[in-house]
Amino acid sequence: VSTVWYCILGALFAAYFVLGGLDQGVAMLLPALGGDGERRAALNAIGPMFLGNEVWVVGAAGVLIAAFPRLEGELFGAAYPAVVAAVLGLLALNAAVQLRSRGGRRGGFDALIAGSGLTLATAWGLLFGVLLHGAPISAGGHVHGFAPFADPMVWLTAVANVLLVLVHGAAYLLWKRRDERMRRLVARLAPVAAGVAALTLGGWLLTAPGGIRNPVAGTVLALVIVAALVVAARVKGNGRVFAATAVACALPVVATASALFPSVLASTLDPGATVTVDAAAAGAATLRLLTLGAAPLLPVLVAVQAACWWLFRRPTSLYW
Amino acid sequence: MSALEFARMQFGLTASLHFTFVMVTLGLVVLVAVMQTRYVVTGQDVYGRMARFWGQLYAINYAVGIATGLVMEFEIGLNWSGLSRLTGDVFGAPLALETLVAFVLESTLLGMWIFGWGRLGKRLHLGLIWGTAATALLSAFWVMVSNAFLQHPVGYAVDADGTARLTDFSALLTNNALWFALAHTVAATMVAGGVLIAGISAWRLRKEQESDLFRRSLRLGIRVGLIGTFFTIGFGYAQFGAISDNQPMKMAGTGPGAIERQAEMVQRFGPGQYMVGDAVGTSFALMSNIANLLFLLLLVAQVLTFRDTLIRRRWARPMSWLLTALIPVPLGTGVLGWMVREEGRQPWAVYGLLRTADAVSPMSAGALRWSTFGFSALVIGLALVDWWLLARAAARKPGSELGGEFGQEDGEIRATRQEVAV
Repeated sequence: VSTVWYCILGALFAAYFVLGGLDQGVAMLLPALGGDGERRAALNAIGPMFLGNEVWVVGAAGVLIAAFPRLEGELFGAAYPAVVAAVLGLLALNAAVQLRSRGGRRGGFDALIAGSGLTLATAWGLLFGVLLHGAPISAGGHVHGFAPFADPMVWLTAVANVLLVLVHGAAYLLWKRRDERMRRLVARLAPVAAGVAALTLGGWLLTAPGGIRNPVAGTVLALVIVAALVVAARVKGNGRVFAATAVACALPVVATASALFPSVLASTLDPGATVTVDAAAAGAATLRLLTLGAAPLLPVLVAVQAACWWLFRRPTSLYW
Repeated sequence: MSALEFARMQFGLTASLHFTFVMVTLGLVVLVAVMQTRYVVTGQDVYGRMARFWGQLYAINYAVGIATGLVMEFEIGLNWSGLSRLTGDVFGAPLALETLVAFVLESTLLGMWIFGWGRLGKRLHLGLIWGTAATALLSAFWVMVSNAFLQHPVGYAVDADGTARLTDFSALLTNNALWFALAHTVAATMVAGGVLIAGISAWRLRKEQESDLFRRSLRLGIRVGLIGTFFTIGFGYAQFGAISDNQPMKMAGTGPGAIERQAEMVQRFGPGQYMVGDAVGTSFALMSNIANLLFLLLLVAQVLTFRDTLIRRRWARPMSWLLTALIPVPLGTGVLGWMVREEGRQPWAVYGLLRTADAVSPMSAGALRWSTFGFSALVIGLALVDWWLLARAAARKPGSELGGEFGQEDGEIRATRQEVAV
């Protein structure tokens, strides 16, 4: 049962990285769009979906707390700076996007939106890096310092994630607003992102941290990310470009988790202190309750969000 | 200050400010849903304009309020690792149901409602606001299930490694610290929503007596505030039996009776200070007196709505001013209520099971001091931004809300339309 909930947790995070990723990508692109009208139109192209996109991370954090209480404490401790940056980024992005057109100084809001998009994409990339690197956890479950953040591979992973999210945001604007400049941007940026992603994969294979149990599965999934980015740069239809970048955004979390499974967060100090899926999971009764109480409603949630995308498939009026 | 004191101060401040957002959100969403229902049923335009005007305030408050909720969710993980390690199994489950089932759905529906004016069918759009209100109340329910476990832990067994494991979910739902407290809290949010609407309407009516929108809003706000206060007080007293059974020290004060109970607690749980601070008694006295006074004032205001006396007669002016001044009162009283509930639970994080001192993360006082300054500045800043934006939105002409096409249009909406055309 714990593995099932681990998969659900992965699916929730994957949904967030696809949907929240497009928010972050559009946010980062905002300063590149000329003029207030363009920027407003870009933000309103996310409009009705924005809250729905962002809440997946809250749902994922909720499942993390309930189904994997012991993982949550150690992961947050090991990646403390990245987690704090992500929280601040989430706050700033949510507030700034919704309040931008209510305040007087839109320029300041635009900078805040772009900055928080960049912060979020970097922080989530760092989190992947910390997971792959492993953390200095001792037998008692205490984390000793932030050594993973000194590893250049962790930062390269963050750069790869930022580029990936940027391409995804451009692909969304291309698809939703038929913005032809975005086609050129995707065509130029996607190969760069693919190259950096391939470099990141190579780097992790060379440094080969002890926590990586299934290098083959991780490599295959990472290669699919690279391939999806190459496809995004070449394919013709706008919808297909977006679909390709969406696949590329969903996979990093799957690739990372698969490479590490059945551990989640390896200890670099003591193999015995490594956090595994089973050890991190809550008791059987809690998981059964979640399975009965929450799992049946996940399809409802997906259906409501799908209905939202369908109802607002045409450009919306400007609210923000 | 010690790490524990910083962690408590940080969480107390975040939770208190978060709750003021929650009160406004819950109170407004139900009232907006009622207005929009009247609009769809009667077809009268004024109710649609009301729903849109107050819905705008609701959406602003929600946008900023999410941020404070997120801070809280992460603070539990970062600063209170003992709580999740020992009892996370039990109280984490309802919290997960809250985020996953209620909150995620609520946000999705709200996004559709905000952008749905004039785009979606009237009945579908009405369904969206009721869906938002229902999931918001469901959120409140699951959060209170979690909180009731902290007040009065039930339905668990401690296993060999000292971790509390859930054994009986139905016990969580029949917890005697749950239902009256939930009703008390939800009724208090109706007071907050009602008084906010009444106070702003009274202010607008002092400037523009003839506004039908604010006249109707004023009457609705006063009525809901009055009924809400009645039930808040009632469900407050209804909790007394359970509280004295569950937490004998909470209402005992510091007199001779308390010293006697202190000795009993030492016998039960070992040496320690079990008497609650003076803040609990003071908060309780303030809360109940303010609530009684508020009930009387709203009763007078309700009488003065007869033939619109409150709006038309000069001698009734002070009452109009008073209503506007009352806007923050339900929020402050709500925070006092949480002081009684949470400060009165000390020294326990989970009553009788986990001490607050054992629940805090093993972090240095220095690290916690900085995160306390950082997060406190953040949530206080968010609260200030929220009230500034609410005041701005409240001062705007009804019908000038952003987005969509609806009812009487003014320049701004036409301007937005042109932008779309461009």
